[in-house]
Amino acid sequence: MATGVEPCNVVGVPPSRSWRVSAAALHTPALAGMILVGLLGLAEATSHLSAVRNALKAPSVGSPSRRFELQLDGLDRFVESDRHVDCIILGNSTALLGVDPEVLAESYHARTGRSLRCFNFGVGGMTASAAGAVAPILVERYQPRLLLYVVSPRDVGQSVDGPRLAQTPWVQYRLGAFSGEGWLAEHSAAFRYYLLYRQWLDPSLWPAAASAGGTDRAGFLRAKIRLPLSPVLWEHTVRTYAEVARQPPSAAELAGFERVLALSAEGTRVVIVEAPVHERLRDWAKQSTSFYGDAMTALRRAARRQHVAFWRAPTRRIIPADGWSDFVHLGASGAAGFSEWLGARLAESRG
Amino acid sequence: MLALWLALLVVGVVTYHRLRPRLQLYWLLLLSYAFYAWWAGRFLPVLVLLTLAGYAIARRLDHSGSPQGHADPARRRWLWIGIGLNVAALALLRLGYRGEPFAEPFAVLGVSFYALQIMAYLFDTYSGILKTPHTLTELALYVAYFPKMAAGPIERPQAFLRQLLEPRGVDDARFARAATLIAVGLTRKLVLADPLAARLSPDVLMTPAAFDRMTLAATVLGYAFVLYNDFAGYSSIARGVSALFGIELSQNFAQPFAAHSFTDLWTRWHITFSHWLRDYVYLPVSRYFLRRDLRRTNTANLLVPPMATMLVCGLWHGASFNLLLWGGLHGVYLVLERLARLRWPPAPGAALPAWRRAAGIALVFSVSCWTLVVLLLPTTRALEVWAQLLTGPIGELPDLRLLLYMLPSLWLDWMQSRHGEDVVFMPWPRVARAALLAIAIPLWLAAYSTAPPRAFVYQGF
Repeated sequence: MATGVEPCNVVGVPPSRSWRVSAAALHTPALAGMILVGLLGLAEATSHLSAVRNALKAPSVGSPSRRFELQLDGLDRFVESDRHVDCIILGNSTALLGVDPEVLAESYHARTGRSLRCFNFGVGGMTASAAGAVAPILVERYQPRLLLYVVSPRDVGQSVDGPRLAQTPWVQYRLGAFSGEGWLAEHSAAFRYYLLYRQWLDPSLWPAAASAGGTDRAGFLRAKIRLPLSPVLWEHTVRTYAEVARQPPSAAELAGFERVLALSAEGTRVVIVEAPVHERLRDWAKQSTSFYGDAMTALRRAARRQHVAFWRAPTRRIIPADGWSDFVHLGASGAAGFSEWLGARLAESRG
Repeated sequence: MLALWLALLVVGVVTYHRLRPRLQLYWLLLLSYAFYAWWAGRFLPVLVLLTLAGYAIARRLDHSGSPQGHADPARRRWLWIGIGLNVAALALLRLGYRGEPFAEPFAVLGVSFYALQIMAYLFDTYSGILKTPHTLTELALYVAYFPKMAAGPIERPQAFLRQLLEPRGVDDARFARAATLIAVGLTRKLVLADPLAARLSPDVLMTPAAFDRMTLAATVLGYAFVLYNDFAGYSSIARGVSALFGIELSQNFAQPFAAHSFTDLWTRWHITFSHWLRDYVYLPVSRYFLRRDLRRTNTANLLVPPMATMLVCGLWHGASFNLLLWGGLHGVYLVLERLARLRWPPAPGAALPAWRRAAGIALVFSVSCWTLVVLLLPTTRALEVWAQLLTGPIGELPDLRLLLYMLPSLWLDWMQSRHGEDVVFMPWPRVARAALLAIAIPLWLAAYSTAPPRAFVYQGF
């Protein structure tokens, strides 16, 4: 109907017809989408081949800790070859360098005649909040009879690395918090290699990745370097420990510790072991700050409340003078002594 | 953030193509000012004022109003007032924010680019190249057009403004070219430049004495590839985005690492800036000397125009001695090349023998990388790097993973040299193009999700 009024000179009236793109222009992107789906399927199938898996590095689950991923892959391979794992040793770098599962198993076998297949799941920087997130996953996934948690007061200090590890989408997904990345990391082998590629792109993760590796098939990292227990090292260690002690034990970290203890109520035997620490450092900690005493007291009380055994190693008796890699970590002979003692203690406690 | 930009771009393009041609210009101008306000709101008044001043002065420069033409001293005075205004704004903003070019998110965003374009508009109006009078909207859009705002290309007024007066359709072919340019640009930026930059340790150039020659050479080489892929990536994305609005922007890079002479290099690297320098610095200076002596051996004409041009080029990058030295060195290379050509003139029409071309490419690439050190570092530090490159221990083979970024970059260059920058993969069968896109998508996603993209190197200019 003619109204005598010109169409309004605004949006869309009439369109300028400057867009003359037909549906055919989308054929290439659509084909690319189909090819991408095909490639992803192919990548997924290939990633499951053991030949490919053996040829490639351990995949990633998108965590900030390469060590964590290597230990996870190592545990998978351990279970694949040994069919099951009896005991998982959990903890930070003091556990990683301090417990040799083979020595522990031999000590145990010598006293009981029974074998004990153990895997050391020590991860540098894995504080109690991270252990509290990771332990339920390990227990559910590998069904160990025993969980040995090697704990030190630093595990309940304020931390950044521990909570970051606990917040990894895959870890959170396994704990029940859904996320796309977590789901993919759990269900897609190709995606785990994609995450590894992403990790390769991220410079902030390179130092950790470069220092990871070197563990034996049971996850134990034999300390190759023994630092001279020099005044410089002492200064550095004390400075680090004083920094941690500036704030009281973290409630979040203590809650993580409680989550590890709670597994004892679900059919897994949980044993807490205090990480050995050099006598000089222990004396310094006792005298110069209340943090270490408070932290150990809190840990002991929590274990007692949940009826979980809490052991302390007779460090002076079992660790030789040259058994330290530094003031905090055990060297090879120290780890052998500590692991031997742990095996004996486990054998004793069976009855 | 990227998702937001993509959404805004889609809204911008869809709305644009629903409008009448004249309204499309207003819409683009609105988008452009909104873009500028988002990034550098407090400097929007500078952009607007320079545009208004440029428009007002250009009206006084228009040939039609002056019976004396070029000889009219009033017109010349107005021209230099306009040029002076833009140079002053450029110098003040660049000097004022030299220490923090990326503060107040990209505070001086684009000033080095839009000031040159206003000057080009004034020069071309004065010389009569621009014959059609343009509206304020058209000039404002030429100056502020958002795809080229942050880091160019530096468009010639005539080529850009002509498109505003013509129909600006987007058909299948242009859409495919736009998508290709954006895809290649994203790949250069996200997959090549940023991850390569992350692999290069800044400590190497900061403390050169602690590193061997191989490591230093690999780092300098790496930065050459970073700079190239970052800037070429940006230019490619800008051209692709602009093509979605039916406006073509000029090519800014043409396989610069394949330059066989320094003259050739400046026709391949930051081409639009090179053209600007040629048109508004080199040629006027050269004409000045040629008017006095037309001989080919005119020494002043052999020396001064290239030196002046490259010194301006250095100053444009920043007012510091190292940048002046960088420009000066390139000026010297051009002068030496001209002298060599005078001494050994090439046979007219004869193609360069393959071995000479290869030797030229190797020489130009090595010397450019060597000179790049002083573009990247303060002079004293650059001298340390050069000294270490000459006298330091040889060292071991550098990290070969750097090749994972350099070789694809060279491959992209090769493909673009064969088929053209914007239609690079168009001659391929559809399946091959689709497969390439299918491979590129996860690479973009991986790079983007690993770390937020770094600011474009030239973004703060």
